[in-house]
Parts: sequence; structure tokens; C-alpha cells
Amino acid sequence: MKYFYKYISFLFLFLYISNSLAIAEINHDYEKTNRTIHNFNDAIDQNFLKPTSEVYGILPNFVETGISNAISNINEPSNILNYLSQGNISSGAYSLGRFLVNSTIGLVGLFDVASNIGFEKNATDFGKTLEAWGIGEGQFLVVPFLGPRTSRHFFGTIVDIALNPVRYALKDEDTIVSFSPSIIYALSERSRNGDTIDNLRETSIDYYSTLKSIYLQSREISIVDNFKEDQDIFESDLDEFFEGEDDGK
Amino acid sequence: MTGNKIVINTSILVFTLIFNFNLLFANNNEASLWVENIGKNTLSILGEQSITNDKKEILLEEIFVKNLDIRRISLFVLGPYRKGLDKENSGEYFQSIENFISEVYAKRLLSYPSGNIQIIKSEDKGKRGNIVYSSIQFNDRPKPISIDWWVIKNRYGINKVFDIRISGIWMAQEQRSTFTSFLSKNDGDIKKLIERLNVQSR
Repeated sequence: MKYFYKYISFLFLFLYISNSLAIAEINHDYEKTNRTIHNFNDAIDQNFLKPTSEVYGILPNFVETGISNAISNINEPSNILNYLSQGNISSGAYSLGRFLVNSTIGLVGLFDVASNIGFEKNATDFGKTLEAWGIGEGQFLVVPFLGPRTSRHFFGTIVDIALNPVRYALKDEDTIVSFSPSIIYALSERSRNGDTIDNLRETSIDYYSTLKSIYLQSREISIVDNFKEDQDIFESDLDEFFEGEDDGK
Repeated sequence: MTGNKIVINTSILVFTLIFNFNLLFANNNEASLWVENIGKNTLSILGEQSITNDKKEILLEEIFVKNLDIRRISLFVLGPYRKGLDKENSGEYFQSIENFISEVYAKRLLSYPSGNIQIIKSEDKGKRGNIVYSSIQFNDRPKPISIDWWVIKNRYGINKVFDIRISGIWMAQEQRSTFTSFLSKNDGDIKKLIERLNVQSR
């Protein structure tokens, strides 16, 4: 618990210092730094993650799926705590049900039995909890090894790492062992989305902006669940577009 | 007399409501059927075993050129830099972006296998067209992917796709972010953008 309180203290200190608490909209003040870190992340991806994930991808599909399911199950307690912190009792209970089913019948999460009986995966994070508490997005950042994050989401990630039970289980192990679940998760995700990532990289005229747009859209859409509010994200741009349209061709 | 007027007015009102409701439903239904047809054509190309990936890419590009609202997309992705598009460079820009967009969309789609499309619902957005929600079950994936189509009629009343949302990401919105970022770094110079697009789609 000592580690948890340390993280929480760090989080709120950082939130205070960065003056992000009252910022409702996303700011993009650090583009130059973000691009430098993006280039660093891209180099890591191309020189380490991509080739390693290709080796990882040789594993049979059922092994890869099993590992991915187990990692996802490990994160379920964090989902439960976050849903409850957001006041979303029903989703918390839903995640608890998934965790119990997959940890027992699903053999420690290797099999996603819950999805097969109709309880589809439903994830949240501490970034969304902070949003439910009325904290603004803050700055758009690119974080080394983690990629695009708003400052709120980044702080949320730190808390989610702190809440992860595996971290406590492995805290006395060597560094490489304690980080191994994160490394396996990264390899698993890179392997599963390899074609999409390579394709985006190849077809984009500005890869940084592409990743930024995809990240912001996915965060906004997963936070705002209904289409009407989702539509409002683009509303001002479209007004500007349709008003002056020269309707030809 | 007053009673007759009430009956006539009520009849007109009911008729108008029914007619408009039917028209609305017809538009929604028409957009859904149109999308379903495009989806089926696209999936049948992806599932065709007898043709190479290069040929598939060409066929997919043809589908996009025919069905995307390239002009609206071209203007939309420029964002505030649209004002810098003059008659001198607009023709070349529209052609470059047609090549670029159709190629990008085709390449991104090529990594998917064949599958089945199911139309979930259609939502009328008035002058902004219809959003058709679909779900595609690709053959190699355990779960279906949601793909939404923003369908809008052009000035000739022909359905066109303005934007496609794949698993929550609107493609034209993503391109807009990329294009405006490129233009902001190049003083809004659309000629430089055209050069970049031409290099990219070679």
C-alpha cells in the first residue's frame, strides 16, 4: 500500500504543478517536444518492437489469445475499482462477474469464458475516472514508450499501473521480471495490430498527426458513448465547411 | 362548415405526416441498401482468391473513386486552408487527392479478408445526409467490427460516401488533422501539399 500512496501523492502533486485541473479542452503546446518523443517511440517500434513482435507472432494463435486474455483478466480488478470510483456500480459489478468467471472457469484468465457467455469485455481506466470527477483533459503529450496521452490520461495510467495487482506480486523481483507483463502486453498488442500500424505508417503524410487524431478520436468516442454527443466533436468544423461550400461537380 | 374544415385540415395534416414519414423512411432505407451493396461488392473483391493483391487494390480504388464524395472530402480535409485553394491549383489538387484517398483507403482495406456485412440501422441527419451503421464479420476475426458510413447526396441526387468510421475512427477527420498539420508547417502552401500527395500515391 506504501507504493500506492506514493503514486497517488505524485499524481496530485503533478496535477497541481501542471495546472491542468481546470483546463476543459485539450491543449497542444508541446508539439515540438512531442514530435521528438514520437520519433524516439517510432525508432523503438521499428528497431525493437516490430521485429520482436514478429517472432512473438510465430506462436500459435490460441497461445497468443490465451496470453492476451490472461493480461486482460489481470487488469479487470483495476476496471472494477475505476467503475466504482466513477459511481458506475452496474459496470463495476459486470467487471467483477467477468473477473470471477474468467479467473475460475477460464483457468486464471487464459480463456475468456465470460465473453463466450455474453459478457463482452468492457474496459475503463483512471483517466476516465478523473473525467467523471470533472478534471479536464489538460495537455496533449507523447510519452516515451507509452505513446499519445492527454495529461489526464497519463496520470490515470500511472494510477492504473499502481493499482495493478501484478505489480505488487512482482515488486521484489528483478527489474526485467517485474516489467515482463508490460513487455509481453506490448508485444502482444504490436503483433495483433502489426498490419494496421505498418499500413498507417506507410500511407500517412504525417504519421505523428495521424496517431494524434486516432488517439483523440478513440478517447473521445469511448468517453462519449452516444452518437449525438459524438457528432458534436465535429460540429464546428462541419458548419464552417458546409456554409461556404461551392456546390459543384 | 366548421366541422368540414376541421376534417379537411386534419386529413391534410395526417397525409403530410404520413408522406414525410414515408419519404424519411425511404431515404434511410435507400441509403442502407446502397451501403449494403457497396459493402458486399467490396467484401467479394477481398475474398476473391483468383486475383492478386495488386489487382484487388485497383478494383477497390475504382469502388472508392466511384462512390466517395471526393470533392467534399477534398475541401473538408483542408480545414481553414481551404481559402488558399484557387482556380489555378484546384483541378490538380482534386486529381491528386482522388488518387491519394482512393489508394490509402484501398491499401488499408487490403489487410482484411472477406466477410459478411449487416446493416444495423440508419440515422437521418437532415441536410447532412444519413449515417448508416453496419457491422462486418470478417472471416478471420472472432468478433465483428463496426463500420459506419456517412452518406450524403451530391448535387445530382446521387448517394456518395462522405466519411467512413472504422472501429470508432472517422477516416476523413483523421486525414483533415494530418493535412492541416502539414499545411501549418508549410505556410499553407497547397502546391507543396499536392507535391507531397503525388509522391505518396506513386
